[in-house]
Amino acid sequence: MSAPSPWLGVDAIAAAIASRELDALAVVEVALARIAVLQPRLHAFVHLDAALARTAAARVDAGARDGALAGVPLGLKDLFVTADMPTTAGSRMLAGWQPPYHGSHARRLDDAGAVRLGKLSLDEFAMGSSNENVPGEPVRNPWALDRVAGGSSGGAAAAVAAGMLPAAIGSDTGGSIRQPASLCGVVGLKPSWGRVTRAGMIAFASSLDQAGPIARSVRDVARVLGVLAGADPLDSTCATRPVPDYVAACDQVPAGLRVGVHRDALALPGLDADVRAAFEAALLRLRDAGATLVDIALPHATAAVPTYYVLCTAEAASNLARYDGIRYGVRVAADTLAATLEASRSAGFGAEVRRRILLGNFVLRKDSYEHYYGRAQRVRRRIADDYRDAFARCDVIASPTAPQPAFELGARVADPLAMYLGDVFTVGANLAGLPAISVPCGFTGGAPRLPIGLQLVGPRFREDLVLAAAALHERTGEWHRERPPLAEVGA
Amino acid sequence: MAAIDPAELDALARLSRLSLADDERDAFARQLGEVIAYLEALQAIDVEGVAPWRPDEPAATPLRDDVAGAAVDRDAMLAAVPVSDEGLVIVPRFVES
Repeated sequence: MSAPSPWLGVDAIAAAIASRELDALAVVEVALARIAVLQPRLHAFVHLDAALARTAAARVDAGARDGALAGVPLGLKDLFVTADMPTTAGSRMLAGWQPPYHGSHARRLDDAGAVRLGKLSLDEFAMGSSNENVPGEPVRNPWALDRVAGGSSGGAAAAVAAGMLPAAIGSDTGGSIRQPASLCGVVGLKPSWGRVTRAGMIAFASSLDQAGPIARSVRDVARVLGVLAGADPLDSTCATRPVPDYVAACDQVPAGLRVGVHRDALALPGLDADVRAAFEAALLRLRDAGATLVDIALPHATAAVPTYYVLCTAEAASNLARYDGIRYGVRVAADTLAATLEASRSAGFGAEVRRRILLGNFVLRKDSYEHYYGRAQRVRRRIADDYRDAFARCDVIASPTAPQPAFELGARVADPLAMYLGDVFTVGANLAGLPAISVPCGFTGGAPRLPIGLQLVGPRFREDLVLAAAALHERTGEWHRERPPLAEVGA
Repeated sequence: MAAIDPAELDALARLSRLSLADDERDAFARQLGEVIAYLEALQAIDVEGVAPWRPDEPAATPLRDDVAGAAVDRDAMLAAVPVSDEGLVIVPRFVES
């Protein structure tokens, strides 16, 4: 056998392993070799375990080879708990933490025959849009090394875009799968809230958090989703409804698919001209492929970002109260319990996490609770109702994923509000619990040439429709086959 | 946009069990002030008679049979505890004099 290409996708690898055209060990060696070359430049991984990966691959080769992800090299964002690898949430708070249990995501991947190679970089506790909120080196965008990979699942998106891995698992609270997928030119799916278990995913904002796949094609994302989705006795908020065949759904485009467009959203002052042009062109291609374009209204769309930042910070302040330096994580010794808590948390949390905890406690305080948190929960209902009304007129809603392509490292570090405003197109799906995908739809015209993403949002638990629409769009172009210019870094 | 008051920032830090370094206090006060001013946009939305959002599914909390299941191993749990002794988690003094 000749060495397989690092650009083989999930579907192709699993098929070749099952038919014995390829061995899992050969596939994992290709991934490890590419990671060795690219990791020093991209910083996508925070933990790599070649020995563990080779052992898993050998087990696949010696076994039945019929798992849905048999022999597929995968990485998990380091927000997912793994019993055999350290889990840090990208935080000094959990530096070196070795979890005493395996989370449900890692377990499902293992049961499907996947070969886990390591853990991928993220903004600390999944809070950020640039993968710069990290204890070490920020992740670099494979398309332009001076640009951000996006966040918070930046390591996952960069690793997939650079051909280090065919797929990775990210998490998405306000866009953290879709925005880095868009900025790195790959496919990322945030499932409906409750479609995928949260057991073993370190909590940021529990009513918004969802795990989901990043890969280089819609079909590959569908295959990984099929493994992740479904009831979990360890998560009582995980839906018990059956899991459809998501791979088959990619080929089942409803006749006369109706694609909704909220035109007012395109009047956003910060919308990049190339992003807008690529989005308009994508709509025309969808129309030419048989879809019907429908104008829809999302009357409370401009309230989505402030609603999101009230709710996610409130939930984060509550969720992160558990980091006390007592049971796990960093402990800075001090005389009293209160002083120990304060010293440990101040040493363990980075600036953005501390800002969000402070903001969360601000909106939750008794004298401001109704003004901020109570009101935001009601506006959230308005936003969810807007989507419900819109889906009476269309099957999926299209928008750009991010208002701008990948920005330069450092450009927004001192301006959190500017960073938050980049979430304008993505947070709505989290607030309403809807499935949403980002797929490559074009590139910027100037230099550097940067990928642009199209977002498609569907009704609750209609991942099948989202995948079908995304696959329809994918068939109209070749953007998902474009490769970043990494030759100058030796790959 | 106005930075939040230093006393307000200190009160939030106490509630959050965080201490702020002197060299970051001004930046935090300004950044939080800008974000809080931005959040005022929510006051323009009419929410009269609108119930707070809650998830639609699952509709009820599922229950499992009352049968003992596998638990996380005690020694593995204790291995992650910063300070422990003979199977116990060691906690700093919590009664303040």
